[in-house]
This record gives sequence, structure tokens and C-alpha cells, in this order.
Amino acid sequence: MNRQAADSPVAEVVQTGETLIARVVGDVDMRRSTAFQQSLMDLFDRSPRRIVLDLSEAGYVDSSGLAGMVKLLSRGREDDVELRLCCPNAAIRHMLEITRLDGVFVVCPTLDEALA
Amino acid sequence: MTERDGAIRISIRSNPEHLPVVRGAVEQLCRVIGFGDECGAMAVSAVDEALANIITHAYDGAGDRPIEVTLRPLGGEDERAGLEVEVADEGRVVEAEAIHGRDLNDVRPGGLGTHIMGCCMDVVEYTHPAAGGTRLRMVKYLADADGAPE
Repeated sequence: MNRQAADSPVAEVVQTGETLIARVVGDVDMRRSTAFQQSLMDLFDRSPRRIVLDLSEAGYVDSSGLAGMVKLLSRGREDDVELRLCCPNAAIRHMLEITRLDGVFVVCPTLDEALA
Repeated sequence: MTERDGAIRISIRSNPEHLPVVRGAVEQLCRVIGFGDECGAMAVSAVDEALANIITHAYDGAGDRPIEVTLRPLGGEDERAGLEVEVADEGRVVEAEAIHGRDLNDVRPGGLGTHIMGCCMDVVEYTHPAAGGTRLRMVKYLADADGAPE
């Protein structure tokens, strides 16, 4: 387990096997999107095979937060790392839908399904 | 501050730290007006993206420039119920075409803010006052009388 910088929405990273679970807490808006993106890119330093973004404690996510997730996805494709999102609230799900990113990300309703 | 017509005017600086304050005000007013959680969240997203666009594009990231947000409940006589939002800045005029959303099939970071505003609101209009800056007017209506989606 590893705690993240105080200003990053990625509050904690847990490693289980070759999977990293990044717990996102609070709002991801333009105040915190730079730290968010940096925290996500730092995950690749651990050479995971799969990354799960646990959004169960995430609140509001704006377009800059979505951009961070898209960067994570792009880097994951380059490095052959699987990315899954889990437990987004209704507002985040709606943001993914209207930007059509729900068809790009693998979105799981529970953490268990994301780890399956 | 509440105005005579029931509008709420919020004056902020172009500091991203102020964004959660405006989001909170929009969310609460949407509840008072009668929006459901999902439609209220859509209005919150649209206003937040508008403010982020102003900070990034009109003010080039400067954190000390003025932004006026006016939230006005609609629903008087002969008026469809909903929420009208006006966001005014004194920054560089950025033509809407210059910040239009990208093709959603082109999956890459950025270019989503304007698209989100258009999806979340029923009306999105930009005007450029002679004195300078930009005035953005957005409207989100409550459900139709026949029960159509909000």
C-alpha cells in the first residue's frame, strides 16, 4: 500500500499480484487534474499488468479528470497494461456516457468484478 | 447576493479554488427549483466547464480576473420552468469555433468541455458585449408538462 501526495485525488494505491488498485477520493477538477494525471502516470513505474481505478469515493469529475483517464488508457495501450474503472457514481457514469467514453473504458459496477 | 427577480449573483476571481463554491451553489439551487439529481448534476457540470474554459482560454490561467455568475430560476407567467445561467468575463474573446469540441470518435485527452456543456444544457449562447469580454447564457428546463425527460 502506498499513500499519495496530499493534493492528488489518488489517495491510495494497493498492489495485489500484478494488479494495482488506485483509490480515487473526492473531486477531480481543474484544481487537482495535474496531480491526478501525475499520480496515474506514476503507476507505470511499478510495471503492473492491470490497473483498476476505484471510483467508489470519487465525487465530481470534470473534463480535465476525464482527460487524465484517457491519458492513462493511452499509456496503458502502449505498455500493454489493462485498465478498468469501477464503482463510478451516477454523475460520473453520465459524464462517461455523454462523452462516449463508456464504450472505450471497461467500467465495472463492483471492485470484485474489476478484479475478476 | 439575491436580486429582486430571484436571481443569485456570484462574483468570483478566475481562481480554480472557487469552482467548488459555484458548483455547490448551482447544485443547491437546482434542488430548490425541482431538478432531479441527474439533471442537477448536468447543470453543475455545464457551469463548471464554462468557468474552466474562461480560466484556461479567456484568462490564460491567470487567477485574479473577474467572473460574474448569475443563476436565475425560470418559471414565471408564460415562462417555462428551469434554470438560466449567465457567465460573464472580461477576458480575451475566444470564438466558439476555436474551442468547439472534438470528434468523440477521436479518443484523446482534451476537447470535451464544450461538448459537455452542449449535452447538459438546452440552450448555450455566446455573445460578445461591445465593452469586451464574453457573456455565456445557458438554460436548462424542467421536465415538460407531458412528462418528457428533463
